[in-house]
Amino acid sequence: MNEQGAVDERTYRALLAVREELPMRQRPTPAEVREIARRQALLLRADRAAAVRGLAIIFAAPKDRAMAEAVLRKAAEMVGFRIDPSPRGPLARLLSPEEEAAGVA
Amino acid sequence: MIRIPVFSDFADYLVDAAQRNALFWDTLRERGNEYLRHEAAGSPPLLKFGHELLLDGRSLERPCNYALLRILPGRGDLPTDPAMRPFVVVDPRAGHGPGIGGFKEDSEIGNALRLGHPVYFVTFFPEPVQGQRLVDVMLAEARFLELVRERHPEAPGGPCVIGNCQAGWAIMGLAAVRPDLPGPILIAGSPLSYWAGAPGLNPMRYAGGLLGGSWLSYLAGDLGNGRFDGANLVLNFEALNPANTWWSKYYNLLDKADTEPPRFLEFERWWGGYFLMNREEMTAIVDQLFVGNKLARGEVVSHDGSLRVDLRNIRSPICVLCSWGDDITPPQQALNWILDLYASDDDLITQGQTIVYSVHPRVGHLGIFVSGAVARKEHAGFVELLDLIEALPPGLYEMLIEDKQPEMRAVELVPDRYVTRFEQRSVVDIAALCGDREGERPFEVVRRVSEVNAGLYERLAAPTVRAMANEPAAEAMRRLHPLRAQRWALSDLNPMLRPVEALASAVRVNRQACSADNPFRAMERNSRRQPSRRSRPGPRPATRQRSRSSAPSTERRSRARPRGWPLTRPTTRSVPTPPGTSSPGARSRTSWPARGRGPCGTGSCAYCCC
Repeated sequence: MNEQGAVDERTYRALLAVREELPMRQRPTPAEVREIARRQALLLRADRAAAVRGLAIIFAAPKDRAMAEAVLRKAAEMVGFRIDPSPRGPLARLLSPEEEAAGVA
Repeated sequence: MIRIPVFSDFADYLVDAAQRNALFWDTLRERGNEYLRHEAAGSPPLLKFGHELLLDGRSLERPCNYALLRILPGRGDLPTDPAMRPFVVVDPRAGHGPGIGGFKEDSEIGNALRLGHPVYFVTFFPEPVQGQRLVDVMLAEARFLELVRERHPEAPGGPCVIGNCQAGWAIMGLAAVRPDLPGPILIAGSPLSYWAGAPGLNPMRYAGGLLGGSWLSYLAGDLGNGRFDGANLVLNFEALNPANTWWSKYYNLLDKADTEPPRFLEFERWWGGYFLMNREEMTAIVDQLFVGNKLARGEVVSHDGSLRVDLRNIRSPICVLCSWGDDITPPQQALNWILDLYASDDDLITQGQTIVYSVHPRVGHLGIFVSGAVARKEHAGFVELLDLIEALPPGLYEMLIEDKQPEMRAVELVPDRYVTRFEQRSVVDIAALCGDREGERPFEVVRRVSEVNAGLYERLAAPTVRAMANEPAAEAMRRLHPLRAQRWALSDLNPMLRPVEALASAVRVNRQACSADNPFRAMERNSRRQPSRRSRPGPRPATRQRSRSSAPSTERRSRARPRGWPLTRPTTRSVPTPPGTSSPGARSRTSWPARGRGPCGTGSCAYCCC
C-alpha cells in the first residue's frame, strides 16, 4: 500500500513471486499473509512512527534483517524500483537499530 | 448520405423486407416453442456448464425449493483443484428462472472454472414448497455453504460467494446471520438501500408510492391462490423501458433477421422463464425491503422473531459491483447502505470490515451478470485478486481497472489484459458519489401509507379474495398472463403460424438481402430510431477517465450534501460532511454517464437495439 492508500496488483504479484522463491518452510501461507497484512496496516494506522521503529526490533538478528532486505529489494526491482543497497540506503535505515542508523549517518 | 432511389431499389427492398419479416415471425414462433419445451422439461437451470445435484433443499428439515449444484469443468477448463478456494454462485430469484450466472463461457462461473476453482451453483425450482419463507431459504443456503466447506477442508479461507441482484441481498443477510460461513462476498447489481436513487431517473423505486404500497402484492398473492407469479416482476422490469420492450428489441431482430435470431433466442430462453414465489415470501420482500427499507437499518426480522439481520455482523470482505447504466439497481441503491451502516471511516475500520466497490460507467442491469466484457474485466478482476482483497487492511476501496499498456512499469507481472489497483476511499466519497439523499424522505410517508393500505386490504378485502381463489383459476390467470400469452400464442400451438416455418426455410435457401446503400433500407433504419435517453440535454460524461474511475472529483466532494435526514440508526448518522455542502441537487443529473441501450446495455444481448 502506498502513501495514498492505494494497492496495485503488480506489487502484490511481485511479492507472490518472491514468496515462491523462499524455502518452503519460510513461505507464509495465504492466510498468514492476509493476517500479517491486516495487522500491520492497523498498527501503522494506530501509531505509524512506533510501528516503523518496531521494524528494527523485529529484524534485530542480522540474518533476519538480511533476508528482509533481500526480499524487499527483489520485490521492488520487480515492479521497476531500485532501492539503494548501501548502508545509508532507506532500507538499511528502516531495518537497522536507531543507534546503528545514527552511527552510519 | 442517401442516394437517389431508382425503381429497382424499391423492388429489392420489398423482397428484402418480406424475407426479413418471414424470418422475424419464424424466430418468434421458435421462441414460443422454446418456451413450451423448457416448461415441459420442468424449467431446468439454463447453465452452459455441466452440473450435478449435490443437495436438494426440499429434503431439508425446513424444506424450500432451492438446491446446490456442483459445476463440472468442461473440456477447455483446468481440472478442479479441491484445495483451491471454492466459489458459490447464487442466482437471483426475482421472477425469472436460474441460469443467469452461468449463461455463457465468459461468466462468473466460467472465470472461476478457468482458474481451476471448484464451483457450485445455488439454483431453485419453479414452484416454492408449501409454506416456504425467506428464512427457510436462508437456512438452506447456510446448509449449502456448510456442505461446500466440508468438501474443501484444505481450501484457504471460506468459499467466495457471488450473489447477483436479489441473491446479493439474500447472501448479505445470510452473512450477517452466519458470519462464520462465507469467505469474500461479491454482490453484483444488488439493491441494499431501496429508497435511494437519482431524482427522475430511477422510476422503479417510485412504484411503491404510486401504487399505494404493498397491498397489490398481497392481492396478487391471494389471486394466485397463495403464490405470486414471477411474470409480474418481469413485467415490471419491461415497463421500465417500454420503447425497448415494445419496439427496439423487435426491430433489432427484424433489422438483423439473418444474424440476430440465435442471440435473441438464447436470451429469451432465460427471460421467458417465469417462476413462482409464495405469497409470504413476496410480501416480506416488498414490506421489509422495497417499501420498508429495513435491511441496512438492521430492522429485518424473521416472521417468528428468531432471527434479526444486522449487516454490521458481516466479517467477510464485501465486493460491490454496480453500474451507472443500471436503472434497476442504480449505484445509490448498491452503495448507500455503507453510509447507513458506518458513521465514519474509523467506524468501518474499527469493525474490521473491508469493502471494495467498482462502478461501471454504462452497462445495464443484466449486463452486470451476462455481459462477456464485464465478465472478462470486472468479474475476472475480483475473482483473480480475491486473495489480495482479503489481505487488504480494513477500509473502503474502489477497484480501478486499466488496460495494460506496454509503457507501464512491471507490466509483465500481470497475465491479463488489465491492470487492477485498489484505491482507498472514504464514506464521504460514497456520499458525494451517490449524491443527494433528500429524495428518500418521502418514502417514509410511502411506507406508512403502505402499512395502512395493507392493513385495510388484509381486514376488508383479503378474506373475500382468499375465499374465492382456487387453483384452477390461479393457473388460468398465470397461463393468460400477457408475457406467457405472447409466447404460447406465437408458437406451433397456433395453426396460423404453421406456414411461417416453411416460408422461413424457403427464404433461408433463397435469401436476397438488398444492398446496404439501398435508399429505402436506409430510410427504414433512420425512421426506426426511438428518442434515445441519451438525447436528454447535458454533457456526455462517459469519458475514458470517468470509465476508469468513479471517484468523485474534488469539486463534487466539496458539494456533497449533508445527510441530515435520519435514515440510519443513531450511532451511524454523524458522517462528517465537508463545509459548504448544503446546495440541493449537489450532483447534476446530466453529469452522470449515459445509460445502456437494452437491459444489459452492452450491445451484446438480444435486447440491445444497436
